[in-house]
Amino acid sequence: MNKTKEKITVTKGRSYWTDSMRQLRRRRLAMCSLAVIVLYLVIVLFIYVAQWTSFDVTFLDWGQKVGEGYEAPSKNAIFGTDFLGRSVFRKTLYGAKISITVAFWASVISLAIGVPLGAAAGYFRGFIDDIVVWLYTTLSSIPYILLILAFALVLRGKTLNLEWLGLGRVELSGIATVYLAIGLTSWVGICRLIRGEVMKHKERDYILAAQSYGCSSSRIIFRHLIPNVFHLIIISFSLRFVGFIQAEVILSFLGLGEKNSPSWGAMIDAARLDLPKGYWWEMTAATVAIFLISLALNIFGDALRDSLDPKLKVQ
Amino acid sequence: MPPAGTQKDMKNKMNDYLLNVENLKTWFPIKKGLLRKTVGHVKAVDDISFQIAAGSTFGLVGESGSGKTTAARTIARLIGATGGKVDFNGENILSLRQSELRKIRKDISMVFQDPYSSLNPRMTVGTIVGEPLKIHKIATGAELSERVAALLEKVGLSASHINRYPHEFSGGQRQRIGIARALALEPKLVICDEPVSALDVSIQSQILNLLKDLQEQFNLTYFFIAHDLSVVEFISDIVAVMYLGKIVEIAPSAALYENPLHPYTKLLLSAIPKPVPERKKTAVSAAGLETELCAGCPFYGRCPLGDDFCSKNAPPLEEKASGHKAACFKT
Amino acid sequence: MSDNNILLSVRNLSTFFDTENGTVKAVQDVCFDIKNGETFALVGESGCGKSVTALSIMRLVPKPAGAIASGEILLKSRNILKFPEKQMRRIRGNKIAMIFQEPMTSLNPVFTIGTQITEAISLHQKKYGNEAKQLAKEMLAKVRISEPGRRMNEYPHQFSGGMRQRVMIAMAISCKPSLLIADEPTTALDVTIQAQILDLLDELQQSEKMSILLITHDLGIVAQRADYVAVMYASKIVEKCSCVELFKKPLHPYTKGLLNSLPQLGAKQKRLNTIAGNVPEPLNFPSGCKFHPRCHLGCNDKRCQSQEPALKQVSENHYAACWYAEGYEK
Repeated sequence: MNKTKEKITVTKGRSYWTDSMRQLRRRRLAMCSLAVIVLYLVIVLFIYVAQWTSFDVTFLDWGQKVGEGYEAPSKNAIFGTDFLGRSVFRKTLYGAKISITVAFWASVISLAIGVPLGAAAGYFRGFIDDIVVWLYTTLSSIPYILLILAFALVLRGKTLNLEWLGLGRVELSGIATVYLAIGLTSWVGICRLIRGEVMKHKERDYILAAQSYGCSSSRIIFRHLIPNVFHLIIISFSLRFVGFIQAEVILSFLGLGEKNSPSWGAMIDAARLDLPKGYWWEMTAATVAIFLISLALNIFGDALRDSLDPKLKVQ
Repeated sequence: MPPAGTQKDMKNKMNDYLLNVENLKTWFPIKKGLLRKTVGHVKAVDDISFQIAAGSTFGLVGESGSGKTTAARTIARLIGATGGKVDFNGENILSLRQSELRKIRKDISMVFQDPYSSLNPRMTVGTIVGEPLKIHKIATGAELSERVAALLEKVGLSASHINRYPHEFSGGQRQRIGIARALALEPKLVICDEPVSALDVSIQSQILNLLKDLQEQFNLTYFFIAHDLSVVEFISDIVAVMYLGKIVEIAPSAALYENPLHPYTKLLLSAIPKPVPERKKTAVSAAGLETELCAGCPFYGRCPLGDDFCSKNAPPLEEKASGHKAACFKT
Repeated sequence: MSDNNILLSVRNLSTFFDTENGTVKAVQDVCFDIKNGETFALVGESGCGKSVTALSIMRLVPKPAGAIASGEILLKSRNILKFPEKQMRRIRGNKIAMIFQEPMTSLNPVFTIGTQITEAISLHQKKYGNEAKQLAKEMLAKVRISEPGRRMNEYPHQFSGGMRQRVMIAMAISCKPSLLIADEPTTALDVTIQAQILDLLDELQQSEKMSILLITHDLGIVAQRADYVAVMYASKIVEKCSCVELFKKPLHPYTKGLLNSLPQLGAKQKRLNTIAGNVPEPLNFPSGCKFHPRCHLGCNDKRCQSQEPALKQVSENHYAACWYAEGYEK
């Protein structure tokens, strides 16, 4: 390096990301929502860590009897107890674990299917596009809930042969059934979105420029196109998360969810018959828990959309 | 010039020409019906021939839809050709297979019209300019950033801009970034597709001067496309005028402006609003609005001189004066 | 000045935009008069505020970010900035009409051309049914669209760019406005089509006796079509005079620079003259005279760097904002 090179002070650029994040931080409501979301995540992580390390935390043992059956909220059990005398509060916390786990994996599965398919369809068009479009129009023409139910019923109790991946045979637990069913059926929306957006970006000159200096197709898709649609993936992730949580609640409510651990859907199902008798607390706890996370995710997702892609607001 | 072997000599009789385009055709099929049967073709580029000498600038003028951009992209092998030959450095690049294209990707680069859409908004300037070098494995690491810095300085930007993003620059500066990217691989031919038409007047002249300076410095050959005749005249040695997929007139720049032969060229020249304050009606007839295609001359519908013969026979591109060709029966 | 011949008078107009990063002063202290029947051109580069000036006159500055901060816009000596929105709606279209740069997007693609023109006519002239249709047909004929009866039933995508701009003009003049604002009306069109559209505007101006506010970046168009010109740079008018005077004797270094940097046909130039530097960003206007960093006269002058010259009369009917302009009172 010679002297002139050292003198140069390289100014750091403002990427769209830093700009958007700065804008996002200014929105107070969004930040409150983020705090709520983080709180839920911390609870879930805490439960996982406690389970893995076999760390004995009495207040996490949801199966423990803490009082008589149907005890109203009190100091002893702040959300009351269920018919077996178990703490509704602890059940609600465990419900968060199930919901968030399901929603997380369902999102990962739907993104893993939808994003590459959408990008490939939008970029290559032609034959590949025809297949992808056929696939998702077929899938989306079946009523959503019926489709999830069908998938859940088929996958239930099945063992998955993953020997070719070196993972051996994996028995699908109730929770895995749920997120597989949701994930496998809900990639259509993101796929359609990415396909459209990739088609739009493909027409821009910077893609032509990349082709003109010999960029390979995979490099164009992964280095040029995906970064330009990535904000959409994040926005759709945050907005779809709500839907996935609710789908899990519905499946559990219908008895297709996880059996060995409490979930919000199962709680609502159980409390449904108790409600007329005046035992309102279990229903309320589960509903409020769902309401809070849904509201927070919706507000945060909207704010994220506004700051990442102001043009989307109009649509 | 690379040492030319005997075989190459056979292939390339005119060694002076870097690019020799012969009877190039690019047709797009019009598909209709359920089975997508081809019912006809849009002849975007229809049988054009021209040569570009090494180190010179070839200007291609035409209005929107004349096929000039399609011609450029076909030559860069970004669009498939329907027929013809494009000899670049003595090799027909239209016959190269997809896997062999890397060779010409290094030697032919492009500058685009829109400085906003031609740069990836999510990449830093350094990444944008450095990517061609990376892909062709020419430089990595510290050497890469050094070369990128040198390129930026060549086009009149500062090396300190390397980590900035395109949206932090003005239109003119973005176009400079695009030019730096086009020069990264030290190409022989640079295809400039309307590089200044999206820029402000005061910036246009800066970029045109820059392109001229770089040409002298690196002995570049330009294939320069524009709709603005005054811009093309300034930068080009040879100018071709394109109308509906065909070249209607081709001549050395000065000859074309001093003595335009084709009525379309005359129309274009008269339609340019000159910065001289006198109110005058231009000689554009409103009758020529509809451009209906006939079997004969493509310009027949708008031509003030056209007669029956013109509507039935297509005029060939003929030499009317030394080095000055036009496709018109009436000159 | 209470000249009866003045149609529109813009006095000290300032329009600001609130953005995340601060207030953008898009238009500052702009003054000009448009006489009856004349073509007044506003020239400038992108971002100089010429389009915002036009939108301010229409009172269509995008809300809530933008607002007219101060000034008066007098239409036949009545301040339209004081008008309630309902009255303003009657002014738009009836007294002042506007055509835009992009003829592709300013027509609604799902309605036929006929529907769109008839609607504009019904809205402003309270004429309905066949009467409105007949009028629409006449308007299309007036802008030289052949077979207007048939073309009324066609959709915008069946029209070429030039034809669409004709339709826009037909809609704009259907209510016989006294002022037509043409915002870069031919920028998206080919030169030959541009010439046709400009000829058409000339003709209509004479037959309809309207004034035109022509907004453009093309000095060639100004030279051929304008009577009076104002050059805008970085949100202010820097020079204002008659068209002939501007090309004969430009006073502001920016105007001179623009004129010199144009490539001239047949001139066989080796290099073009340029204006150094870039167009300043509205959030980062330089101090003093906004042109001084790019000016060969003012870049080292203390006064240019610190004091902004106001637009002053330098000779009869010639105004300039430059400390160095001939006849500029310091």
